[in-house]
Amino acid sequence: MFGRVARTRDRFAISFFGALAFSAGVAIQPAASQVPTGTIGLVITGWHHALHETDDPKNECSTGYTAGDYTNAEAQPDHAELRRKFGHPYSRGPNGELTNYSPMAVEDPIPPSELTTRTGYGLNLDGTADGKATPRTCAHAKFASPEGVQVDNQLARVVGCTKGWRKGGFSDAFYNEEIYTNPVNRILIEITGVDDERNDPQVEVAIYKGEDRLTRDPAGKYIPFLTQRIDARFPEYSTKLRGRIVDGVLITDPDPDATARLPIRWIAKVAERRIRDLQLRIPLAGSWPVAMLAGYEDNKIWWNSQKAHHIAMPAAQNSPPSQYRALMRYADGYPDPKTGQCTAISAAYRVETVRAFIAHPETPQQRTAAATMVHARCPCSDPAGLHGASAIPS
Amino acid sequence: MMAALGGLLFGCAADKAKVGAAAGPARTAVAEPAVPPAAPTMRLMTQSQYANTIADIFGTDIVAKVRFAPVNRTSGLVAIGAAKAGLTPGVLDPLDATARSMARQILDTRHRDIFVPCRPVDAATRDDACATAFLAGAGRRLYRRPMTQAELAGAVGQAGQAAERSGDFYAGLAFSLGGMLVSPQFLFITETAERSPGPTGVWGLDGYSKASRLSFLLWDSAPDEDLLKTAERGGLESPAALRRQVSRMMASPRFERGLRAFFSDYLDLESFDTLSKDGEIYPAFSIKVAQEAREQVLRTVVDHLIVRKGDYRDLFTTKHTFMSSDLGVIYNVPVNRGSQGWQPYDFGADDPRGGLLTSVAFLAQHSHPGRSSPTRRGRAMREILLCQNVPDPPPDVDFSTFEEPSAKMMTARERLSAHATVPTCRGCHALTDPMGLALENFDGAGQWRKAEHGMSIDPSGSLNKVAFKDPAGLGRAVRDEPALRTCIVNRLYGYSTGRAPTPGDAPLLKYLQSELDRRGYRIEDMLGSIILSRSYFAVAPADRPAVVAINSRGTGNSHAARN
Repeated sequence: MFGRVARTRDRFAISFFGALAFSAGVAIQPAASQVPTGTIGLVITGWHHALHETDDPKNECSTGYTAGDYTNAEAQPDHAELRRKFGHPYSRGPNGELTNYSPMAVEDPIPPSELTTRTGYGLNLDGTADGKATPRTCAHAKFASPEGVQVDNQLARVVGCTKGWRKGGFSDAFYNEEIYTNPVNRILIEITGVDDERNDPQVEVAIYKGEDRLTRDPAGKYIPFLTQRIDARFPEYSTKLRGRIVDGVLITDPDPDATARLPIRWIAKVAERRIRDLQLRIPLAGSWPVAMLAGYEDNKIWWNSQKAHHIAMPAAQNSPPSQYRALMRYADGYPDPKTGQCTAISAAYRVETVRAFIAHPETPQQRTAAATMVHARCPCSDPAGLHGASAIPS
Repeated sequence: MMAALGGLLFGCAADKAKVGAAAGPARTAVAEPAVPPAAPTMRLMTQSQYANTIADIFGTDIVAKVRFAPVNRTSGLVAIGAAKAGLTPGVLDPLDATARSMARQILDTRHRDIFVPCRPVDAATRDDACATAFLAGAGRRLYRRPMTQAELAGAVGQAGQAAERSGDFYAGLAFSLGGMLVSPQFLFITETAERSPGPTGVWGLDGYSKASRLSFLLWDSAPDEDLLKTAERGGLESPAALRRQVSRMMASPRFERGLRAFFSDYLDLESFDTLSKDGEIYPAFSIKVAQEAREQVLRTVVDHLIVRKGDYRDLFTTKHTFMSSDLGVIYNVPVNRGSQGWQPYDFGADDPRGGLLTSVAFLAQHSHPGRSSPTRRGRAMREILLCQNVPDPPPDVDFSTFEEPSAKMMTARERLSAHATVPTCRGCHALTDPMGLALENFDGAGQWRKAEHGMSIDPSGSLNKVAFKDPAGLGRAVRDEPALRTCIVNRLYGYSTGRAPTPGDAPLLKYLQSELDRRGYRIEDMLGSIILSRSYFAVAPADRPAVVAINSRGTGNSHAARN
């Protein structure tokens, strides 16, 4: 038994000194005998477009919010006729095409609102100061972060004036609730090889899809240090990165060859994100560190996750024709060698995390050994201990 | 298990010698003292006994959803309080509704062919012969004895009348069965005394009462058919047959249920149903955590006592337990079993956790909603585990010193030190605080902490002049405390008989303890020694003097026939 537990502990990602040094609000402290093993586990609990937002949207979008699908439909001269013929307000194409599936079939009558601010959040993904074209990027305008750093986040120009994707908007709120309610959205980050959580020149970072639920306290805050198991059914959602820790912030290295696939379930639709050159900036301090996750989102994959929601698009006050055009216009990564059209768009997300124990899948041998051990012990009909109380056969 | 019980008291010299040799110089066994028998008891069934009995007789698919009214804990046990509990109309109403519902389920088209051993001649009216066959069988299991002729005739008559009125034989059976399920004969475990035949006959429990006492103790449920048949043919009068039955029952998976029921009562785990913590202070402590903390204790107890056949005392030092995902948050350990699973878990040798005293269940249960309480924890150790009484505080105590942190007194130890200057507090707190302060490294939710309000916590303490410096030391001190052994024997005896041990029982309890001191406090030895003692089934009718049961040599009563 002791052998098994020792193995178990070795396999788990356990680290506490960060929590000890910086924890705020929740007094979670380690048992004295639990020795840090140089691993930090995190689970993502919040995911938002990294937008620079103020209370008045006109500060960022001079013409206010983008008009949504329904508003554009009503503004279309042939709206009544299309509605009569096709029966749906979003069948706005000449042949009744739905706007989200055939965005290029429709021209929005109301010009979309677009970001006019030059301030934004993101990471400097292309390595340039001015956004000039490079072999793997198209020319684009950069944002200046509040700290004055030139950063890339062209996706902000696509969604930044859409009310639903701004803070507290329909899409943002819906997705973040689904992070809580649905394990499809369980994304785990494991940092290994940590010798010093303040400064470490080399650490390994792995991203996995998890399979367990999250727990919130009565105030709605996520409870840290829940065990999160890696979902072994989906190895395609694993990504390995390298990085370093500088003054308590994890910074991963650019890797143009690294493409991260991440699962997403949003408004009951399952899709995925495909992010090239994924980079992370994660402050390791605090109980609920806010991290930056950035990279180049594949245009097609991103649009696939958007277009599935022809019902939700209007609720998000989004208009697919304008949004799709903006996506293609602002795409700034990985140009098609033939057309020159960039196939990906720089994107930055503000993600919230809490610490977690990340449990790796047991090997078949370990699983068998554990099952045998528990079965041998439990004189009940629930040898695997899957239920809260043992069921006793009558 | 059969082999283990074969070596129980009063019957296996070879085994005694072996145990004695292993434990050191063998002590001479002394004869079991005779004690004055007590009156038979009548106890209200507990909620779990009710549910288990229904499940055992009719199967788990018969839904028996009912919530019993709380019973006053008496002499440390609900089981003893149940002997003084009654049924008010407010309690009886839901029981009646549940009984009617269960009866309908048992006799619905899915189940009737399983339970009714015959087919009525005409399903649209009464059939007394078939009704008798069913009701006599069901009544025997529910009443835990054969129904009297009058009881059976009454039940069959009711079934017949209801069948005629409803035009449905099975509805008639359901009506009558519903009445039996809410009858005193079912809901109250009633012991009956009988006198052994012959001019020197002595009083003891009748066979069916013995069967019920055994079954509710070991299985937390009514006797099964095997036990009832053994009782019917007088098989429980023979020590050998009694041993066989006890061995069989302890080998059954139902024994786990019996053990859980005892420890739930003994450790007052029912209070977890209402345990809550301040969510602002302990955000991770949810209702689920509370439920799983309780379950963790019971799993640990079952594993230690049944599976590992461990010594009861080692429950206070064992490093082995089970962990769920939500508990892992409180313990700050990983659990690779998902949200519903349990994982065996060993605390490291240098981990301050180990044993029941450092379980989240004990620590959280005996704390305030928003802070720890060395006094509550110390009192719980004294009263629950050592069977010692700690008086309530005087009504005019000013608690402000202890409840409001001040700049001068940052830790509980400092605040509680004020008791030393208050004569009305000093006596009782000297009993509780030195023990409870050893657990101050665990906050009110049972989470580890090194400091309180920035001040390092000193977990040293003492128990009856045994000093220790940390929680592990406290666990060892409690493990080795003689009162722990006295208490568990006392509680097991009270739990199984439904009455608080009297001064008259003291010689027997002392004897049992001395035997267990020699053998070790394994669960089969503890229960076996009590059950197989000569006095266990001895009772005196309420209208007869207790000495009736003591023979001229003062060495026994009806149990003399066994030896």
